[in-house]
Amino acid sequence: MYQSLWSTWVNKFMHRICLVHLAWIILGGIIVATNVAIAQTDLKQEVEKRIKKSEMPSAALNYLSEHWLNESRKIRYYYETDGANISYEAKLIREKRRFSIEFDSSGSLQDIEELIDYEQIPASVQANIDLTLSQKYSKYRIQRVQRQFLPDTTQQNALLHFSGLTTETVDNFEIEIDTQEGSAVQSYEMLFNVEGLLVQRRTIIRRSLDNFLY
Amino acid sequence: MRLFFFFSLSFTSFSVIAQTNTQLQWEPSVSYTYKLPNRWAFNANTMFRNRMVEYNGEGAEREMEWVLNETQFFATYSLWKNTKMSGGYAFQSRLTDEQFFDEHRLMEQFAFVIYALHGKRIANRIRLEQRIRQSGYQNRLRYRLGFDSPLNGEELDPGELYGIVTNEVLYTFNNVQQGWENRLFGGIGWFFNRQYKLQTGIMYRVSRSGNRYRNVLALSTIMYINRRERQKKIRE
Repeated sequence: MYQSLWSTWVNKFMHRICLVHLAWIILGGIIVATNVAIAQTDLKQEVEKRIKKSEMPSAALNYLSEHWLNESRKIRYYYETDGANISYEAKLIREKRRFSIEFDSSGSLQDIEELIDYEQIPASVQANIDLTLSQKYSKYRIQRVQRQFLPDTTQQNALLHFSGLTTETVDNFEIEIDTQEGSAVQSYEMLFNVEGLLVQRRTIIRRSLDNFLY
Repeated sequence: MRLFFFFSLSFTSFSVIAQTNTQLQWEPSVSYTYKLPNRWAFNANTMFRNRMVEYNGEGAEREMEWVLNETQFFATYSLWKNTKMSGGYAFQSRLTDEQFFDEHRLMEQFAFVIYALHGKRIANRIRLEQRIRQSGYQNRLRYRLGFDSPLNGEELDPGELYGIVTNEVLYTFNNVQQGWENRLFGGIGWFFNRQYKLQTGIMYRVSRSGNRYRNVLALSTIMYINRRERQKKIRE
C-alpha cells in the first residue's frame, strides 16, 4: 500500500515538474526566437539624459546667460543623442510660457520650441491642419502642440530673442496626435509649416504597458 | 462603505505586519508580449513562487522551497491609446503539505493610463477572476494603481533605470466566505531596450480571511519581453 501511495505521489510530482518545465521550455524558445530577431535588427537608440549646467557647451551657456537665465525659472538641462547626432537642450519657464531651447554639440542654437494650446494657432492655419488630419484619419485627438522658431541661417551668428518670439515670427508647428486608421491606433509627431501644410510625420512608439497590465 | 475599506486597507497594511509573523518569498517570473500591427496583443507569463522555510529542531536551517507555479495567457485589445481590455486564462499548481492543488482561472481586465507626461505614468487596472479550485469556486475582484517614472531625464531611454510603485487591493468572495488582500510593491526596472526590461522589487502582501491575518514579504523579479515594432520616432 505504501509503495502504491509512493508511486502515485512520484507520478504526480513528475507530472507537475513536466508541466513547470514545459512552461519554461515554451518561454525559452520564445526568448531564443526573440534574440535572433533582435540580432537581425538595427538598434538605433535615442538617449536623453538630464545634465548639470556646467556640462552644457560654453557657447550655449553664453547665449542662455545673456538672453534667458536671469528672467526664467525651472531651468533644466538635457543631453540628447540618437547614436549619430548629439544635441543639448535647456527647458525653462519665462513669463508663464514654457520653452525648450535646442543647441548642437558645438553650442550653436538650433531651434526654440514653445508649448502652446491648439487654439493659439491662427484660425486660417488651424483650418489647413484640420483639413489634413481629417483627410488622413477617421479619428484623431491632438495631445500636444508646440510652435517652433528657427534662427535665420542667412545671417551669421543668428540668434533668437525672447521679445522676437511672436505669432508673426513662427516657423513651424509641431503637433503630437493620437490617430485611428482603420483598425489600427497610432500616435504621430507631425510638423506643419506656418501655412499649416504638412512637412514631416514621425511615428511615436509608446512605452509598453506590460508592467502595469500583467 | 466597501469602497472605503477597499482603499483604506492599503494604509493599514503596515500596522498589521507588526502583529503577525511574516513569510518570506522569492517570485521570479517571465512575461512575453507579442503585439500585432493592429490593436491586438498576446501575452504569456509564468511565475514560480519560492517560500523561505524554517524547519523546527536543533540545527535546522532556512531554505527556499518551491510552492507554486502560475502560468497565464492573455489576449489584449487596445480600445484607444493606453486603454486596454484583456481576457485570459491561468493555470496554477500549488504544493501544500506535500500535496499538489490545481487551479484554473478565467480573467477579464480593463486597464488605462490616467496620467502620462514627461515620462511619468499613472495607470490603473481592474480585473475580475473566476477561480476554479479543487476546494471550490471563488470570485476575485482586483484593483491596482501604479506609478512609474524614469530615474534620469524625461524619457525612458534604452539602458536607463525606472522606478515603479503599485498598490493592489483584492477582494475574494463566493457564497460562503470572503477575504481581503493588499499588495504593495516598490521596485526598480532596467529598460534594456524596447524589447527587454528587467524589473525587481519588494512586494508586501497582507491578507485577511475570517479573523486570520497573513503577511508576506516577497522579492519579485520579472523579465519582460516585448516583441513589437522598432524604435521610437521613425522618420518618414
